[in-house]
Amino acid sequence: MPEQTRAQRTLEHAGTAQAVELEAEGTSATFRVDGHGGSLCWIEGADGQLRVHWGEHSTFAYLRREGDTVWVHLDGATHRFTIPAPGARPRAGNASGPEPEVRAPMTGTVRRIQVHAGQQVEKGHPLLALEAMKMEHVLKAPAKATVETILCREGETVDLGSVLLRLELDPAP
Amino acid sequence: MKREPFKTLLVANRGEIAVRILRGAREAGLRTVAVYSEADRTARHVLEADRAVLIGPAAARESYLRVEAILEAARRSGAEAIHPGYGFLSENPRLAEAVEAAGLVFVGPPADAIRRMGSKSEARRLAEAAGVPVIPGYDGDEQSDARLLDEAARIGHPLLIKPSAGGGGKGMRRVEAGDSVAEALAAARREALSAFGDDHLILERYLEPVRHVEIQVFADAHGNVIHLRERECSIQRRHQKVFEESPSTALDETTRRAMGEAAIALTRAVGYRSAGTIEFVLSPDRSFHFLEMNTRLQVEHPVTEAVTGIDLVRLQLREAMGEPLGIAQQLVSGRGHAIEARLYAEDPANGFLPSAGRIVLLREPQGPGIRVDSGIVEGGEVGVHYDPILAKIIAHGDDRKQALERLARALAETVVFGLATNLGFLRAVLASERFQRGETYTNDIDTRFDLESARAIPGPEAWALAALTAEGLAPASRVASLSPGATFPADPASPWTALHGFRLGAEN
Repeated sequence: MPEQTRAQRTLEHAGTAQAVELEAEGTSATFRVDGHGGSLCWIEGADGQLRVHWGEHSTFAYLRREGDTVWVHLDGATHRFTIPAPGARPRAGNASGPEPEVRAPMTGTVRRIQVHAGQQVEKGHPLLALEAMKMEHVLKAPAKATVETILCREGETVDLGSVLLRLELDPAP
Repeated sequence: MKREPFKTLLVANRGEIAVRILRGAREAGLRTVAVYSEADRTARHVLEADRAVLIGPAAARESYLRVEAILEAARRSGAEAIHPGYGFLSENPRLAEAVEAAGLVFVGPPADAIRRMGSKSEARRLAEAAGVPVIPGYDGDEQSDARLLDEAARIGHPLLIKPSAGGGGKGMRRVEAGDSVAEALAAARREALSAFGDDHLILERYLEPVRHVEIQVFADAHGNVIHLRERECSIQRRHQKVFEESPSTALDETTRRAMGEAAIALTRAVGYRSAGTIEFVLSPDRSFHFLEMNTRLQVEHPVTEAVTGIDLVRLQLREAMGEPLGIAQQLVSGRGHAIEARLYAEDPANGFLPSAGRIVLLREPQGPGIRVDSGIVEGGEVGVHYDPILAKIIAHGDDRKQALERLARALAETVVFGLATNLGFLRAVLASERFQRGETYTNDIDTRFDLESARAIPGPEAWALAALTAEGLAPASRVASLSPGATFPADPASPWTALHGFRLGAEN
């Protein structure tokens, strides 16, 4: 008899966090997420492909965990989930206003830094230019601010999400 | 230009197009040579060739864009012919000239044809002289403010200002009634000068709505010129093609014949050889106007190969060896319908910015009517240095409906884990009613498709499977065991002093 396992796991997708309650036994599981309960079962193929069944529905899936990222391909669509670090609060959305940390929106090379520490910038002032795959992307000041620290160098390759410079935002008028 | 049989071909490119050309060369019984940058040591195209030569660091201008490095690689590897692919040096007449000067065969058009078609103003004049309709506009050499303002007033609004040396939509400016033409001209000059080192401008009436329809042409060294029907490439996002299909849903037989004849006339007029493409804009009243000529093999060439049954790369190799075309125009016919979708490393949820990362799982679609031209492998790294195209998925069916059904099935079977791609976006556009009806204009994706709806929202089962995977309770798919950082035998010496590469197979 396969062992029954209970677990609760919080995941994030596109900035939304959800807690999933699980009860798994062998190749089937029941779950509850966002007030919705259900059950599913699967058959594993040789190349890692799964055939997943729930209710009348039958589809194929691929699953993979890579560090704190979980990839799910289901019903022809690929979803990327992240496992939040223990104790971390979900990232604030745009509604909370401009952030003092300017992050790389893509992995790329820093082409030009167009400001210096201590410089005052208006909203929309170009801060630096990133280049990836022949495409240049200019990062602009999200609001009136003073450049506090520059944390990258021209020519440096930076990863998606890394902090490139820190601003001191002017208090709103 | 030199045309004679050769036994070894060097492909001066990377990614999916290098793989595709290397396959054609292998079928023709040729020895093959790949070139690669330091970022591409373990790339798929490197493994496809009999021999591979390191040509420099990751930055393209220090590797794939260096004419001297390509020629040195050809000398070292004993290649007698060079195929440029698309992008990089393919439309740079300096490569064609240098190949010629080194006594090698260039698999492509004469340098002179590349140069003349590379100038938008000269291309327009050539088209006009060949009796091909051009968009009402001005392509003269006199570039004074007074003259350009006069011409702009004559052409009317909306007006399009283009750098003569430009391409791919770069540096183009649209001027509406009420905008200052003088200011737009000054800004366009500055941009053209910094982007292309040449501030020569041409003016055209901005036509819309239009479809983008192009004709594939082929010419040999014996005066034979044919066209291989059209490709419809209207679904673009910011001048970047996303889907291409053939036949076009907008062409009737009369327009197709007229467009084909116009394309052949221009191909002859410029003294062309090998594969080329003449781009037209097609208006709703079925009038068409010349846009530009691409003097290379196109990204979307498999669409033409599917409907005509003609292998364009093999034909290019034969032409480069001096053989006559051997295909009469009346023998070129279209069978069924083909459509191509371009898989890009870009993130629709992040403003379509390029994405990068290691591909941790890759499943490419197969089955009836599906062709995949791919430049990636599972375990491989997608970097930030080059064009974001990962692969092309081409579906062929008896009619458009079947081709679209096959493509939808193939896209749903395509799995790429490890970096963001535009797969969900491709599926959403394909499923849209406008696309299904075939009513597509070049500004559609920017104006008519709801990009928000292209984001797949995971259902409760997807959340549950993700949680099971995170907990180790569901079987996570296994991945090919190419450990990160695994490399193939590398050149021990500096790439600048010893370009000897490595060998695979029986040659060593």
